[in-house]
Amino acid sequence: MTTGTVLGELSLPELTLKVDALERKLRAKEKTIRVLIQRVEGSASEVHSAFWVLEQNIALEKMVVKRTAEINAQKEQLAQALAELQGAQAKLLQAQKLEAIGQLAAGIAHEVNTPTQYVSDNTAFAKRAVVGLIETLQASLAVVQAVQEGRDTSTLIPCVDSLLKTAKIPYLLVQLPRALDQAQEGLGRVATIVQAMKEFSHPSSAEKTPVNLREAIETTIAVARHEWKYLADVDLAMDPEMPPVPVLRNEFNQVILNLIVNAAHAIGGVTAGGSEGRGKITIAGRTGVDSVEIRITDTGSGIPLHARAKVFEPFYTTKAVGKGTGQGLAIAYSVIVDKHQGSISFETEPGQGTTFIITLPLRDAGLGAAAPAKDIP
Amino acid sequence: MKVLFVDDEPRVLEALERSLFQLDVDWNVTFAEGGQAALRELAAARFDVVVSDMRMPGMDGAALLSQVCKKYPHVVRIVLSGQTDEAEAFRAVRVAHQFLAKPFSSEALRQVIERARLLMMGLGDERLQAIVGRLEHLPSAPQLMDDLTRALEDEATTAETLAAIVRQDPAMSSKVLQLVNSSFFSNGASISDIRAAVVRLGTKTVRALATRGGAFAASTKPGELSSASVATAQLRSLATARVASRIAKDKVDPAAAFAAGLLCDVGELILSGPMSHESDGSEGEHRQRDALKHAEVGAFFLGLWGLPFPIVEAVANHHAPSRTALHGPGLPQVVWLAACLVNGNEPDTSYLRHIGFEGSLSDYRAMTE
Repeated sequence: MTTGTVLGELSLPELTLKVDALERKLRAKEKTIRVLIQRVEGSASEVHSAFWVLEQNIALEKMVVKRTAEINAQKEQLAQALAELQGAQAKLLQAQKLEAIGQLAAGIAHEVNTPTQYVSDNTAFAKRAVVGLIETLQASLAVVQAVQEGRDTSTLIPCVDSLLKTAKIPYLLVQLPRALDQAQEGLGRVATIVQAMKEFSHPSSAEKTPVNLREAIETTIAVARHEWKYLADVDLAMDPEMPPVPVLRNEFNQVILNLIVNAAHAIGGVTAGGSEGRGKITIAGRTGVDSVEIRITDTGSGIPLHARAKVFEPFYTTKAVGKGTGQGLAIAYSVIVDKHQGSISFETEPGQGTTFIITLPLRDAGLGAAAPAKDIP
Repeated sequence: MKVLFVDDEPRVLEALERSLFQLDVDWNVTFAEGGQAALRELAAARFDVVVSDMRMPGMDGAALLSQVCKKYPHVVRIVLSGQTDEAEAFRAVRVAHQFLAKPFSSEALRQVIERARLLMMGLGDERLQAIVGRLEHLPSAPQLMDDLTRALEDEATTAETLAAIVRQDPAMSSKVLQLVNSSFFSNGASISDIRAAVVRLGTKTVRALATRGGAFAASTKPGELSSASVATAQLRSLATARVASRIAKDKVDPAAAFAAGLLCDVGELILSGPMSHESDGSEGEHRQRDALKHAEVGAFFLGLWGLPFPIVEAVANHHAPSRTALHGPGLPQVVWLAACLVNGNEPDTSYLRHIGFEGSLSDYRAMTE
């Protein structure tokens, strides 16, 4: 996915540059006015003829009117650019979410197809087994009836005998219950993944709601199972006493998903895609006085020194083309810091792994999800 | 016959075991949880067929099957995967003969394996089986390879344009028909029409096959057929295909006749290739003997790749169509007649009439023009 096309006419870095340039122009204009005012004030302190002062004032007023108009026009331009920037960010978030879901979809299909394989084999087995059992049962009932009616059973018994043999009754008695158990278990697995997908992608409100983070993280782990299961084990150690935390559920899920997928990629990088051992992803949650902390640790390669400063920058990625658009952590930062007034940081040790640390305030700072655009400083 | 099933999910194996036991298959089945376990089984006993999952921890299906291809090339390699991601699937294209998508019913699986058994029995030569088993693809005619590469470089190329190139070349056509007839790429539809096959796969998949799948190549390696002889063989195959589809008119499906005509001599391409790596000087002797079996080798190859049975049957019998159960003007007879006409052989006119070709020989000869 090329992000340039997602954002319409201008890409995010281009927009950022445009805003910067406009802000610079605005500052330059303000400086011009300050200089003019100083000059007028300076001139006023000297003794001049009234006419001269008037003349100066008129010239100055004209100048000020002109400059003010220019500044207003530029302010408008700036506001528009800012609005575009915000729109672009929203689109970007959506695009990254779609990318994540697209990536997950293939994994989820695999997670569903595997149990479907053995559910169908087992049910086909049970179906054929039942046909054999019914035939045997009917033949046996015929014998019972014959006995009750005092008829000769010598021709019926061999028939039951041969059915008993072809139906492989002893085998069925052992295997049929197992087949049905496993079919049921397989359906349970399909139901779990479908449920997790539903919860994960369920549209949440635009406002923060108190969320049980343990449940939310469990859902995300389940949805991303295919991304980590061949590479690592996942440990979830959440403080059982942790109260619900006010978050934007979808955005929070997406952050956790990005971090889990990154952790899995990091582990894949040091285990040759899982062919040389397994790694571990640990997700731990603690409750503080007025905030909670979530730590996501991987046993990957760690973040190289040269990349550390850029980790949260948009469009920064060290992954191969097609493996990521460099948006995951930038979006995590924007969600946690800008939208939740929390913090996100990392500790990393080359060759040991990386821990991302998220803190979230337990009380909504009151800005709400739809916080107004920050004023231009 | 011994069949090895490989999957990292023990329940998949258990359910398969139950189903196959109940279906009363008369082959020997073994189950291995993962690539390493599979290699141990393969080292311990001689297997004929391996059916493997793709995504497994540690050694995955692609890695396992490429080992099997190297060490036990005679083994029929089948992928049974729950994956839906085509990009991942291309890793399997080079190492597997057939690609099945989960969920795949055990009865259908039995048919696939039974068919493999019949093919092996039909060929009855393990050395030839290994030669065919090792093949990733046949050599394409260099000119057509260039045309395909150029067409794929153009983003605007349509599937029709690609199909027009692919259907001229036995190597490309066999690969495209292999994929399109696998349940992974097309839900197991049986497709004999090369044009329809390319359209169904689509430009994106054909492009990925060419670039990432390494599915098409002109003959370049030393010891392989010279470019000129591949090109000559391709032109003759194309001529046979065209004549076959003309003869087929209102007797059998012309598109299937075209495909069978195009592919009827793939056995020759295989047998005159880099062949066996025998160093005991028996190669020349083998070559002479093998040449007599080219129809059987071609049919085994196409069957191994899962092409529709009528094509396999026609290729197997295109030298002696009277051997087939069919006694009317069927696909084997059409291909036989087309090959006779293109190669300048005299077809047996009494047999022609016997099977219901009403026209005179000169009418048919006119079709070669």
